Amino acid sequence: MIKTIGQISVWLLIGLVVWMGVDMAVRGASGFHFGYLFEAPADMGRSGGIATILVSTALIVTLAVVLAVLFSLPAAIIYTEFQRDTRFWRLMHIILDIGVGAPRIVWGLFGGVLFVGYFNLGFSILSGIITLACLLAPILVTGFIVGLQATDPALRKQCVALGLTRWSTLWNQVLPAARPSLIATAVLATGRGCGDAAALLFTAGVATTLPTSLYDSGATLAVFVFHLLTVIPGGQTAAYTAAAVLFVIMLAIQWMITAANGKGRFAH
Amino acid sequence: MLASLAAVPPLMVVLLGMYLVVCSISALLQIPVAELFAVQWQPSGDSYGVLLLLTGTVTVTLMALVLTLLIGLSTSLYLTLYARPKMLQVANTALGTLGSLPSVVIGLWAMTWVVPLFGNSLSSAAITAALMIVPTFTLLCISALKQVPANLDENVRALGCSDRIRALVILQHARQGVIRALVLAASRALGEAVAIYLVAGNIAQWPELFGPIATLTTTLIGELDVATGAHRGALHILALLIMLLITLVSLFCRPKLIRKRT
Amino acid sequence: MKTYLDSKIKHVASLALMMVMVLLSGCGRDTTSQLNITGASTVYPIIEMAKEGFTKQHDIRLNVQAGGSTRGFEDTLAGRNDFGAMARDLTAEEAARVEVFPIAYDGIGIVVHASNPLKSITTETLQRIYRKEITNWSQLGGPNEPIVAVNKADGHATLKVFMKHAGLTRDEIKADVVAGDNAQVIRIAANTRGAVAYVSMGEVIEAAAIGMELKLVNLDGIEPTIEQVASEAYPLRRTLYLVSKVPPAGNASLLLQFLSSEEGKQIIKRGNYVPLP
Repeated sequence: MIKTIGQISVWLLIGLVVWMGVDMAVRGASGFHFGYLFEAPADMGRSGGIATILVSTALIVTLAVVLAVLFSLPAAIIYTEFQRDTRFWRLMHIILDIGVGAPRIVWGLFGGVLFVGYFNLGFSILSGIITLACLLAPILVTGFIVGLQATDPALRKQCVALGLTRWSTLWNQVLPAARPSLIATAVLATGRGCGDAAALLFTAGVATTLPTSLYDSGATLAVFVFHLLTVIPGGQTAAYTAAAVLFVIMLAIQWMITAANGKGRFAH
Repeated sequence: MLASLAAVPPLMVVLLGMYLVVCSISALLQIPVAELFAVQWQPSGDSYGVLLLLTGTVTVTLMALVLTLLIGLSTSLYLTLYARPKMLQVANTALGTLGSLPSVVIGLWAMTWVVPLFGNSLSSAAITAALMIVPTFTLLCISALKQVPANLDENVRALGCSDRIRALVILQHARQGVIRALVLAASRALGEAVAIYLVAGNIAQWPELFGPIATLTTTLIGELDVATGAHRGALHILALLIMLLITLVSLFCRPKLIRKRT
Repeated sequence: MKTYLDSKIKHVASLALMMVMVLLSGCGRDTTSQLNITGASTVYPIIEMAKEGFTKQHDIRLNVQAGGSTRGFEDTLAGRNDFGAMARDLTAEEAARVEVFPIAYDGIGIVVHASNPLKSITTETLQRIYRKEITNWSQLGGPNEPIVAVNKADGHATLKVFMKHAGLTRDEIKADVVAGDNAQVIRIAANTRGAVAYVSMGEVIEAAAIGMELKLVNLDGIEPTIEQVASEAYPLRRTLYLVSKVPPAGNASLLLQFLSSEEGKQIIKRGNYVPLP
């Protein structure tokens, strides 16, 4: 019985993914034309291309991930190097957990008031970058910690035996050893960033024009899809085309994560 | 230098928490506390009863979790116990893909295929939320089931136990991992906003299977850009509530990052 | 060895910090060549459409953010925008605090799904539908299909205008779906057989033109057309405003000039709104 139910669910899930893919492709195809990726949106996004959106997306997501890695990697290193089973580190652990669990919309609310309003950055790519970086940092820290801890403990022992300092061990041995998993974590965060709508909607805004500075508003692809669905009358068809592109981007990122993790992440 | 950079991520989380608490407290100065317990969420009428929204969030999450348990457990059991390696690989790819899809894409799909069947309703919301969490749950379950020593399964089979007993023994052994996966799924479902917003109907009322429902998160995303004054304050209280819910759930059971060093 | 590594780490770290500094302060926020407009989602399409022609004439960036009218007003008071967009009349108290510029008229249309045979509806029927006294189209001589009443989220002007017209209080309204912005209302109406909704007329005409399955019905015997809104015969109409904290000068007055120019009026007409005479 379990076998049958399991078989049905597995095929259901596989079918669902294929269905979604085909659905996006078929519905999206009507809005797709030669040059879709290279033209600016026209008519409030209902026609034209998505070139400017792709620029904003790349800008926001890349800079946010870079900014977040900048803080997260040191955090993860210090965490793995110095943590003991003390009250302080347990508190840190809880804080990180809360950060990972914090919903995007709550970060959006936070960024929307603090960066957009209080720091007067306005609805801008900069506000979006900082908010997204805040959102991604706990995810990155946790992922990095797991990656650093997964390195062979024997490696550290060998380095100690060879008389290497802690930093030398870390810099020359542990970090290189953990590199594939660190990169996979960063790519995963990039994927999260590309897919985010709730946090960026209220910080980076919904402008579809080409950003000329970090103080301009710019919609990422996911925000663009959401905007087409909720604000632009008759935007559903265009939303499908943009969503199809987003689907493809996500597939590519997923493939990159698998590649970065080495073959057979789940196969052992 | 390194330490000061490292301090930023946890500090931002603390800042977020403090911000929510401070804003909620200042909102309480504008909204009488009794008003929060009213069974009505109607900002233009100055009623900010969070009860209905809280019930909405909890109901959607619970229903999604039941669906996830059904699909996820059976899938992972089948994949670990019976499926051929090729099948496992295909399923892994499918689950990975589904899990990586952004909520707008899932929401868009659900809007086109689920809403015509169930309307803008609690059922649609639960199904959509389940779609968001099934992949992660299943993948985590599979890796938990894989931790079960192979000889346990061999012994059970040698005893000639039925399939059901076999599954139960293995689940019993992997239960910690399964619970952990479930908790993670629950916290994702609690915080999901965009996908559910597109299909839920967003009316604050008692849950009905085919009636519209509003949750804490859908209310936030729907009203944040129009809210002013006390309404805006009330939304901060909603955000704080979601955070508290998620924190409670994830503190209940969390993966061990702190390890005894060797 | 140790000092070498330390310096390496410091090198990387300071480089990284520099990047953040550049990111944060590199380009000063240039507010001289941009106009920020927030507020009513009904006004959003007008400004978005005007953007193209306006930026061609002037080197000014228009940043538009759709929200609600009251939010637009609050943003204006707080100095967070150059113009707040409002899709309802201001209260006397509000009007005293800002500069008010009417830019167009808009009708609020009553829409149903395209398959609905309903041709006309009265304000009284609407009132009863939104009170859930009428719950099935068969009660109005239509097919046996439950009525799905679509309402706007609190904070949107359309809700206020509708409540005032239909003589409903917020407590009385019992809807089946709540939607935020106009496009969402339209999408739900077009995807739901039994739907009834009230929404900015211009956007419905546009949506129907691109083949979405919904239609406008007569209200109190008056045809829901732009002409009827222009002649003030259509009962459910409103004025759209831009408001500003200080008397507009420079860029801001350029935008107002553009909207009242012949080109601006054409754009407003193209969006199925009624330009000021």
